[in-house]
Amino acid sequence: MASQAKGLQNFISDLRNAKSKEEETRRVDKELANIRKKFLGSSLSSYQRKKYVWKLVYIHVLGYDVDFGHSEVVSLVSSSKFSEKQVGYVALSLLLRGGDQMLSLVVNAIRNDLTTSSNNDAAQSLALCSIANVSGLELAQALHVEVQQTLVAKSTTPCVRKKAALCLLRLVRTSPDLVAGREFAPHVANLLQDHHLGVLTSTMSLLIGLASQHEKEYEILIPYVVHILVMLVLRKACAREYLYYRTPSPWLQIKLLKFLQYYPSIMTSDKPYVSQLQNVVSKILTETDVSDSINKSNADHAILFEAVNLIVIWGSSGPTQQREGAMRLLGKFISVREPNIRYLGLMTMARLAQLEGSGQSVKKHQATVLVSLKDADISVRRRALDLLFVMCDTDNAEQIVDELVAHLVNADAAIREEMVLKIAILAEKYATDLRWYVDTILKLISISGDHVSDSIWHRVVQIVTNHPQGDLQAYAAATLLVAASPRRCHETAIRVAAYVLGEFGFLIAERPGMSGDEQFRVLHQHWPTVNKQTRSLLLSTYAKLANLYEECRPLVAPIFAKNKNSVDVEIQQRACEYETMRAAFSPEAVEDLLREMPPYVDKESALMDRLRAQNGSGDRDPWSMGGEQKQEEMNGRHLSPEHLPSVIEGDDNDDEDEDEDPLPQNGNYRRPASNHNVPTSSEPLRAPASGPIGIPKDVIPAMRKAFSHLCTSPSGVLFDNKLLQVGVKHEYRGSQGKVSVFFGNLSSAPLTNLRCQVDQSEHLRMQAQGTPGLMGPDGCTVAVRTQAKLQLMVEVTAPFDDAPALRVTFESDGVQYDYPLRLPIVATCFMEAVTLEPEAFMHRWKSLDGQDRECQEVIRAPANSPINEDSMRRIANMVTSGLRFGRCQGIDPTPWTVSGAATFRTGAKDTSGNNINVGCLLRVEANPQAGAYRVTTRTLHPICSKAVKNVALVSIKVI
Amino acid sequence: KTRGTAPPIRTNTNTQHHTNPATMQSSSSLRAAEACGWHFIVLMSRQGKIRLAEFFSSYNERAKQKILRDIAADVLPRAPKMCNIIEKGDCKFVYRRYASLYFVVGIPHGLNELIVLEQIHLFVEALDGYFNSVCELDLVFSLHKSLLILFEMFIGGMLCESNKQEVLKAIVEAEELVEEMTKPGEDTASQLDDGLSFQEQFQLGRKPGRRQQDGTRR
Repeated sequence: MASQAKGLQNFISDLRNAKSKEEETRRVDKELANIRKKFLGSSLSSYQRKKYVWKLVYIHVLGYDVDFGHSEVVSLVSSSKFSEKQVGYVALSLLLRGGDQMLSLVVNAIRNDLTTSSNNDAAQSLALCSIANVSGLELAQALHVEVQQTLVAKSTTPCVRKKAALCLLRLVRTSPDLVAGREFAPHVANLLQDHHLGVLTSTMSLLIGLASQHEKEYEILIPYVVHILVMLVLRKACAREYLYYRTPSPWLQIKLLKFLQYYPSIMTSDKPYVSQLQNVVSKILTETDVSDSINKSNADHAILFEAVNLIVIWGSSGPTQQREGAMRLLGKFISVREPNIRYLGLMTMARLAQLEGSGQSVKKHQATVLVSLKDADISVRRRALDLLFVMCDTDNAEQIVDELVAHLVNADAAIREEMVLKIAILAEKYATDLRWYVDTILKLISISGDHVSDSIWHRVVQIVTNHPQGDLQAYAAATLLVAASPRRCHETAIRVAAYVLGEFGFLIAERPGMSGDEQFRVLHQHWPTVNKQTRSLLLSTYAKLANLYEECRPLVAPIFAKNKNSVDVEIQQRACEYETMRAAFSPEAVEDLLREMPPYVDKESALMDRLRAQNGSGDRDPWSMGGEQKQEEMNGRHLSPEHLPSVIEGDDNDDEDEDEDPLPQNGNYRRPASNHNVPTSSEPLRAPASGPIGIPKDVIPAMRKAFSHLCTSPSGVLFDNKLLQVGVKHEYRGSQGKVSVFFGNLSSAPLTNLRCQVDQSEHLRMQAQGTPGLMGPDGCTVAVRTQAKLQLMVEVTAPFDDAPALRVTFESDGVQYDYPLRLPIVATCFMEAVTLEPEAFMHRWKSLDGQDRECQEVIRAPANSPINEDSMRRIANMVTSGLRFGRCQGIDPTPWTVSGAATFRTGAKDTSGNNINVGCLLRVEANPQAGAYRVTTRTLHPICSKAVKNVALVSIKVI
Repeated sequence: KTRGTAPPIRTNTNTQHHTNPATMQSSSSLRAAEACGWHFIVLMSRQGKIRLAEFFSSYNERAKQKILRDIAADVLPRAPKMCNIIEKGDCKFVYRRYASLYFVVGIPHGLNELIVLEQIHLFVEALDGYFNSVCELDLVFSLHKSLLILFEMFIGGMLCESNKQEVLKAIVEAEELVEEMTKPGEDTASQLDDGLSFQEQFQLGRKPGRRQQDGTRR
């Protein structure tokens, strides 16, 4: 192996010859070290610099992290030699991404290349390509004007123009309000009349990007688009070099058809282009044929599928025969051998099947789809499953579900979970006989129990509980008893059986072989093998059995006795409670406690939510609290206001929000209502603490409240107990703030070794000073009734959505204490109020419409503060003085909305030396009937939106 | 407390509008996806070596590594008769195999898969035109050329020019510009550009020296 890099080619050869990944990595590391050394040294020749940067590019492409050499890249880009520029731009495109600080150094060079148009198409092209590839807010803000000018300028050559269009598209995707639709649409119209097909294709890409954000403003361009389609499809007018396997620019045709999909109601208008468009679509439908060339076939079918998408979008407003024609074609496609066409046929048919009135024609293909379900290709199987899910209705549900269940046995892991969920949904939705539903779920458990999630079996319990009519409950109990009888069966089956037998076992106790003690024996045989959640569940069932059947009591008693010492707190607690219950209460009270559960509130199956949540977006009704919370559970715990000041390690038992569960998750029974006076062992037994003592649980609610208050007020007490009081005073100007923290000794002994540590974070620059020793390793001593003081100067450099941690440790009377706290330095501290006219506000509000720029959450009004005019005054006050927003008056006719605007000031500089700021908009809407507030924030930065929303929510809680 | 442990289940986006076909596809997430082009393109050999990789969308290092692992695990083992599309979470892999080299492109749901397949082919044809019947070795040794062709054809993941002649013309013009501005003997751009010795070029089955001006094949 060469010991020295002689050149790029040598290096590549070395890597090629590397016998193992390790050897390659060693070679790369060596090369990186070498390059680093070279870059540190002085005076590289032009050739060397290029060579080393190419090597970095090469190493980067191989998948290694290259985190240096950016300044060499920058200097290459700024070079006057084209050869250097070229290397520089390619490296820039690959190595740097938006957010990199180096970008500010290169902006001027890029601008220069973009605007000095003397003979440098090539440099302009490179610049545009790099801007698009790097993207990011910095470049978007610094260069969008130049890019737009390049795009529309007369002098621009087609070669540069098409790149400018795509570059602008990329910038608009990063920051959507760069282009004002009304003014820009005429420019797009001009571009659409260009004769260069490359320019047209790029322009259409740009147009789709723009229309996806504000379709109304580009509606006027439909005639131009239809015209181009007519030229390409009906007249086949296309320059020879843009034919792709004899098809006129399929790329452009796809874009044109895609754009039209934004206008679903086009068919109901009487515009002259409607009939032309219908001709185009008919022609595509009828004249697409299988070709010998796979490339031609693909290109043509790509167009065809796009046309079918358009037909689906039109729905019933389009011509019926086109829908039927499309269905016929797709029916053909799903049985062809060519796998791509079959895949797309299934996918598109699922879309078409959702149109009203197409159900019957889809069902004709059921048999074919079932064949695809067994295809060797997972992609095809997924689509087939999806289509079956869509085409299912009451008539064919039993057949489809049974087929799916039969197929589940052979299905591989990749698709099983999805199948199980879909089967469970279909079985519930279309069951004509609920016994069939119970049987189906049981089959799911026995075939693929690991994929049957808790929500699926919880649903079974809900449905059985809620249907006392007929013999469903007895049937379920008997079936589950049989299912749980074998020595080996899935744990989920045991859980359902335990719950259902506990509730409805008495219905079958008279049957032979199903008496109470036999039920107990069947369940208890699994005790040694099941986990602790199931055991807790079993204990409750045993209690219920023992209550009903005299003969069970002696069987159950030793189990309770033994588990009183269980290491698991939940099991221990249940065992204790159930054992003492009989002695402690009257028989009536015991009877009451162990009575069967009342019916559950009938809700839409949580499974549908789950499916929706996992698809990323559901139709959420923002005013329904339950839905919101379920969504939240499904999506996992994101940072909710409760968790914002999450000071306490470990679970804080703040479970108010979780009562909505269909069934408590651990398999717990619902706790008997508190007025029954059940002996709940108040504190779970814990091993005595050997380490430092943390924050006592009882002060936590007060502490949270204090934190929330401090987020919006300039001074107050952050923490307070018998030993220590922590006070905070904070004031801000722009992006900077001064925060003073006081530690007061309230105890009767001195606090020694008092130390505090503040978390350094990337988004906050901090300088700390204070009482000597306070920040040091040994801490300082605070005498009785005196204070230590910490002073922080902070500057914010980027949006953030948490609060910096402050950890306080000290010793008092020989005992160590360790209090993890959080400083109330939150995003809204750095707001500067902006007063906007209503129109300006609405304009900005609309322009910020988009997925992650908006945050929204609904919160119940605090119990002690109903929504009325007085509370709205406090909300307004909270928004203006607490959150530092400028109130925007006169937007809403009702008194129930407060809107405000502010600028989030950061100390980071952009390229022209100005501070980077983020505009923030906020609305708080109250719904007095529902007793809830809805907080919506829209900002350019997703983290900002979230942060402002969170602070607003915690502030409303303490309003 | 333990919550439901089942990992999320992915289903195709079009089931989400199960109840309301009229709004199908107009959901903002799908729309935004339509305005995106390729998320990335990766050229991977059958042995799992990366020959070219460009991520047009912003991914952090971990996400990139995950994608590369997924490609190696999911794309390479697929049988030839299977379809060229794999669903992978909120992204689809569309791939084509040429000899022992896989061209894998990541796209969002909602993009036309077949046309992406042909876009890959278009790129291959352009490479073919430039390298005179391209082979994997060409890509290995002239990565920078492949990158320049890629950037000439695709901007931010969107197809920019489908006319191969025009693409190659731009590349050749840029090459001329590099040489024009170079004083003979001083800047060794040409050496870098085609750093292979004549001997090596011969071994690769190439004609030494400059390429044909028009860049067309053979």
